[in-house]
Amino acid sequence: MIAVAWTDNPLENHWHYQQVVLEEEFYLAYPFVFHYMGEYFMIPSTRDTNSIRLYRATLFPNRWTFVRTLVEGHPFVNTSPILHEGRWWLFTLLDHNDNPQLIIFYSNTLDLLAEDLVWKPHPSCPCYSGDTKRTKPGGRPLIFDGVIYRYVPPVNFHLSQSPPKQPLPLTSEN
Amino acid sequence: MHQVTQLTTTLFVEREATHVFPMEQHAWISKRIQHIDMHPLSELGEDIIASYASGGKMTPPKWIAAVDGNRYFYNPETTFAIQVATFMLVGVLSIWAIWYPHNYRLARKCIAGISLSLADGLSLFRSWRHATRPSRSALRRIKKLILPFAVIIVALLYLWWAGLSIFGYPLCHSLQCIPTASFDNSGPIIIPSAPIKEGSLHHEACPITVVVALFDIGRGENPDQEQMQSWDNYLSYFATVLSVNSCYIVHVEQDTVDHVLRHRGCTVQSETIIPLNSSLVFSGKAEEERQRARRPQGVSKHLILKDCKYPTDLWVTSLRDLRDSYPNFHMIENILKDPKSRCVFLLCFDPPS
Repeated sequence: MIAVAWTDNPLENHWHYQQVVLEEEFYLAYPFVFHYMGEYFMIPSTRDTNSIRLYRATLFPNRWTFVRTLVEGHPFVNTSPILHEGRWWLFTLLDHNDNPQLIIFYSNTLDLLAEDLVWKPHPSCPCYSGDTKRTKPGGRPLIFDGVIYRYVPPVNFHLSQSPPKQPLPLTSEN
Repeated sequence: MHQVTQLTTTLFVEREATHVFPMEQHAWISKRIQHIDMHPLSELGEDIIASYASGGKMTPPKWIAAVDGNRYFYNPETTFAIQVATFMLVGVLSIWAIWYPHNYRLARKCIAGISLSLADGLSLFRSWRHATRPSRSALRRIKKLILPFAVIIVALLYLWWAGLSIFGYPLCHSLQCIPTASFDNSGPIIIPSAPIKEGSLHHEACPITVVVALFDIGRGENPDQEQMQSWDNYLSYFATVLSVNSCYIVHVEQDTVDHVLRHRGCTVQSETIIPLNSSLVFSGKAEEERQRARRPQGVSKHLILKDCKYPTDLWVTSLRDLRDSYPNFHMIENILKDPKSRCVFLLCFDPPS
């Protein structure tokens, strides 16, 4: 389940737990909340459903409604969307325990609610495979001064620490 | 941190850029961070860009980052030391108690403070001993059997659970080797009920309707009654009451409306004036005007709420008006008569005299 806490001043590090705002029959984690076109959306980690699910706040932050499945077919973890050059990009971890992979999807439109919304896997992906130091998204990608930065946890506690099984990085340049 | 240098539909290139946002280990245990959410404190980030553009001559930019991870550093050496010390202490006391029966009572008091389970075991042993009165030779044989058995059990128990045992946890907690929750107010977990049906009356959404009111009668302002709770305390208690996931009819004054909305998760769509002493059911505008003309001062505002997480009827009224509305203060006739209402609670913080 996903819960919410609030604070009057985040700099004082004094937060108050409020309530559970989203509960599903499957495991929820990594509540990635973003604001777009006047609405709040959330993409939580829903590994057990083998999909990436999009939720919309009908009453922010207390009530969330499932909107649609963005991508399905694999156990995706820690999906992190960004808006870049006129389309949406999803950085996500394909969580095969023995071989975790960083996958990037991009959309054909900016409208997350459009019927013709299609997500295509990036041709360079899996961008990294097996390397836990590079594969798992660790939070909101930061776009600063036109450059994208993404955080990757230095130590992965949940995935195997097996060495890379493929050369990396796999990009269109090599 | 990775810097994505190129991201197009055909190309993805990035490089490690740990120097861009170096993390100080003093601020948090960065090795345990699995998630980070950074935002510039400046809303537009203009001062940040200007600072970088000036080559660091301007005041360094400030960011705020929400991170996860352990609040306290996990120290395996400390935990191991506690395990060994706990094991030795309990072992010595156990041997002392079993080997010297005349010290049993004192030992039991000590052991009971450390491990209730062990004390219970000794009590059973004493009962058995009084009941059977075994010979000294039999007792010696039993001691030889029990001693190693008890040592092994206690050793396994405390070696494995020392960090969480009755004795080990407070020690370990005081030494900050166990991570603790960072929330100062971890309230109750509310399990949402079924969504409210569109257009239905609130009391149809759930079997129990709670009618509650809160008014400031100035208890905290009376200098002769220093022990009285302040208004803020009442608001805090009231927030807990409001967190119950059930249908609510809430009577408050105007100043408390935001407090209720916040904890019931509602937004106000519009306000409607409802005359007092009328039915709880929404009345027509003509009737409303007639009642208002008859009792110009006796009106309450009924806030039409929208998108409530929990079903709520919010009435803005005064304590006097509330008493007029509910003559017995313990009977909500309209709700009681409703066959769909199985039970009615009236929570009264300050019963009227």
